[in-house]
Amino acid sequence: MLNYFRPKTIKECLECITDDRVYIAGGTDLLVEMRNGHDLSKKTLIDLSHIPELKGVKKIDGGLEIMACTSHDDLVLNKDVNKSLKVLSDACRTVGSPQIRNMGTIGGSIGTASPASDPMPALMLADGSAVIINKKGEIREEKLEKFVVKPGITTLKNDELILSVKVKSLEDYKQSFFKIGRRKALAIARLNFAMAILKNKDNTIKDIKIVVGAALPVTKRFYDIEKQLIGKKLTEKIIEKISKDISDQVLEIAGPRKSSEYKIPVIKNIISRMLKDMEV
Amino acid sequence: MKLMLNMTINNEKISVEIEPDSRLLDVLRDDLGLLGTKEGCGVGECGACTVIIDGKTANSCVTLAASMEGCDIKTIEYLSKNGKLHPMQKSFIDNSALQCGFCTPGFVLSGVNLLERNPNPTEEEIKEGISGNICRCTGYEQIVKAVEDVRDEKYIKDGACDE
Ligand code: FES
Ligand code: FES
Repeated sequence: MLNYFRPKTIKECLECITDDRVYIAGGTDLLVEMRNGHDLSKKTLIDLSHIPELKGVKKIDGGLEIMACTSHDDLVLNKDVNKSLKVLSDACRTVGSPQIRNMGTIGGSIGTASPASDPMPALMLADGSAVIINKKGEIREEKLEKFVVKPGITTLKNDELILSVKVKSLEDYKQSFFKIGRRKALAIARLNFAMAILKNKDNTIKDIKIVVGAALPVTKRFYDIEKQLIGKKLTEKIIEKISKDISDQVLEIAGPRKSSEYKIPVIKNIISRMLKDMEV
Repeated sequence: MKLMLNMTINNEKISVEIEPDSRLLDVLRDDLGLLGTKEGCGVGECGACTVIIDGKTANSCVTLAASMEGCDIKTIEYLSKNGKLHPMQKSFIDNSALQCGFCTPGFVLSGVNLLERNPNPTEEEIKEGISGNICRCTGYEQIVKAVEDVRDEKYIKDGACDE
């Protein structure tokens, strides 16, 4: 028999957690899975949609804490997100359709660990980490790179719940998000990218962050390449080199596939275009 | 495990007994007889099942009915009053923005909700606003025009349109 709980507080929610728990927030992923045969009949369904504590965006030291059941639409509109992490509202604006953005939540988009997640590159760009609580009330924080293990798999244990995502403010950075999908509306990302750059007065790079999403099984920050760029200027030559290095790495990680012939040059071009656009 | 669900539908408070894994779409159609909400794809992609939940559109095919406890839901049936069509419905007819009509309830609600949230959308914003709805018949141009006409107040406000 399916058990259903609709807790009103985090505390109540923790009490409901059992080994066979399945969470539902917006429902936009779970109901599709159910239709595809995901059998819930012997599970405990915990409905997270009525817990006010899990909604909204808080300012924290140096950044923001985005509560897990905040919808994509709320993030598109949120003033603090638009101020500190514009790239995240831009990314959320490209999620699904208006209907999906209204219902789908940020926690769901992290928890399902879909390689095509649009918020994920923006969150990783801002050193995002998942804040997780377990049934005993113990809290742990984990960088998103670690939290997402592979497509569909995270480190979240059965007795745990995602509380929020903490991100750094990139207010002073130039930020950019780019996505290629199959159809403009409803596009599930095939390729998505996020970048942020902070310059010194002499136009050299003080800090740069580069993330490639959907092309890879797991969204990736290119720390090694970022580090090489500190103190340099974004000349044509350097842009050419970075975009080649990144697309080479993508090919290496994702492995050659039928689509690589199309994807790899496109990735290279997009990265070079995004860097050029941020230069001006 | 049956469960009592209390919500407001089209301004009427209702209580209905549901299964905890029922979809909102099925509760609307099968339990409440609100057949204006359509099922197309069933996976959140076509918008035929669009309803307005607490002032925002949603796909009722991927919405858990049980989550709707205490929520305010508006379906296409809400729009016409005393036999008079809502401006958006009238505009769809006048602009020939429908052929088979299967997608129409969803488009009309997306259009209405868009104007509620943004009374003066650009053409681009209208396209974005209806981007979660698919029409296999019309080719969208007339639909965009229909929303534009309501935006431009070609129809009397407050839902009343005299034939
Ligand atoms: S039937 Fe719900 S989106 Fe297609
Ligand atoms: S009028 Fe037939 S699908 Fe739109």
